[in-house]
Amino acid sequence: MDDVKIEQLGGVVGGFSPTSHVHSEGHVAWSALSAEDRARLDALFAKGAAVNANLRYRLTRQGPGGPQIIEATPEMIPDVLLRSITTTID
Amino acid sequence: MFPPSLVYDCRHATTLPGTPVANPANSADATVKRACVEASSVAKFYWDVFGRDSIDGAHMTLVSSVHYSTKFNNAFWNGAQMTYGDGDGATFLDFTLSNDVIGHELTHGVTQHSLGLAYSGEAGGLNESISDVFGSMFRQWEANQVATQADWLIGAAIIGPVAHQKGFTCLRDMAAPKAAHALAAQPDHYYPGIGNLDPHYSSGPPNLAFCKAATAIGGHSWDKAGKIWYKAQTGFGPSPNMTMPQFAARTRSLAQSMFASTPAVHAAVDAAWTAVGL
Ligand SMILES: [Zn+2]
Repeated sequence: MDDVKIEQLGGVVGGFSPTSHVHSEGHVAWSALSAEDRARLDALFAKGAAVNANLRYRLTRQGPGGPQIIEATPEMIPDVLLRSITTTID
Repeated sequence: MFPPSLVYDCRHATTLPGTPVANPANSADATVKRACVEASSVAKFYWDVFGRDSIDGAHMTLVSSVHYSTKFNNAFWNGAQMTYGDGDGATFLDFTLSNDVIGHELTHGVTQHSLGLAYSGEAGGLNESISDVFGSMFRQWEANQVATQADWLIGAAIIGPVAHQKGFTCLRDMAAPKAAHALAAQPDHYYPGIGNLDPHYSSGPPNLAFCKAATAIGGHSWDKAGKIWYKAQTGFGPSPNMTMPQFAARTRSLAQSMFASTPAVHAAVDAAWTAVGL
C-alpha cells in the first residue's frame, strides 16, 4: 500500500467542476498513518458507501485489483489526512 | 423574535461544533462576530421577505462554527450547522467575509427542510443554484440594491491575493457563468447529462435563469422573482431528485398564478428559462 489521496468536493467552493481552476487535495503515505488510522481507513474502504453530503472527500488508494475510490464526510476521515490538503490554482 | 444565533470556535480543530463562544454578537474576534450577526441577518431576511421562521420554518437555533481546521479553504452545511474555514490567505480569505457565502450555506439548510434536494445529479445542481440565488439575493437585500445594480458574484469577498493576481474575482458569476474571472466557470446552457457533473458546475444555467428573470422584471430581486423561487422551493414538500426542467416548469406556473395581474412577470420567467435551454 503506497499512499492515500484525498480530494475535497463540495462546500461553497465545489472544486470538482470540469472547469475549476482551484483544486484542494493531499496525500499521506500509508506508512505514515497510525495503526488506528489505518484500521479506520480499511473499514471505510471496505464499506465504500456513497455519501449524500454538501462537503465530502474522495479518497483513493491502490488496492490489489486497482485503485479503490470512496467518498466520505469529514468526521469519518482521520485528521492527519484532512490536514494534508493544500489548495492550488491553475 | 429571531432565532438564537450561536457561534462555536473550533480553534483549528476539525471536531464540530467546537467550543461555545459567549456573547458572539459582541465578540472581539471579527470572524465570530460576523458569523453570528450575518446568520441573524439571513434569518431576518427570510422572515421579513418570505415570512419564514429560521432554517426549518420552526425557529431552529442557528449554529455556526468558525476557525475550522487550519487554512481550511471552504465553508459548508453539514445537515445541522454552518462551518467556516479561515482560508489559506492566498487562494481564499476568511469565508465569513462574503455575506452571500453565509446566505448560501444557510439556504442549504432551508432546502434540506423543504425540497430536500440531493447533493448530486440535476437535483444537486438545483440545490447549489438555490443556495447561490438566495445567497446573492441576501447580499442585494443587505445592500438594498435593485437587480440591475447587483454584481451577481458569488464569493467576491473571499478571493485571496494569489487568486486575484491570476485575474479571478469570484467563485461564480451568476450573470455570466462562463466568465474567465470566475474560479470555477460554468455552462450557461442546459443539456441532458449536465447532472452527471459537479453540482457547482451544473448550477450555471439555473443561476443565469434567475438572474435574467430578476433583471427583466426589475426592482428588487426578492420582491417577485425571489418570491416565485421561494414558493417553488418550499411550497410543495420534498422532491429529492427533482430535475431542472421540473423546477423550471414549477416556477413558470407559479409566475402565472402568483402574479396573475402582471403578465410581464411570467413572460420574464419564461424567457429566462428559455434563454438557458430550459
Ligand atoms: Zn453549496
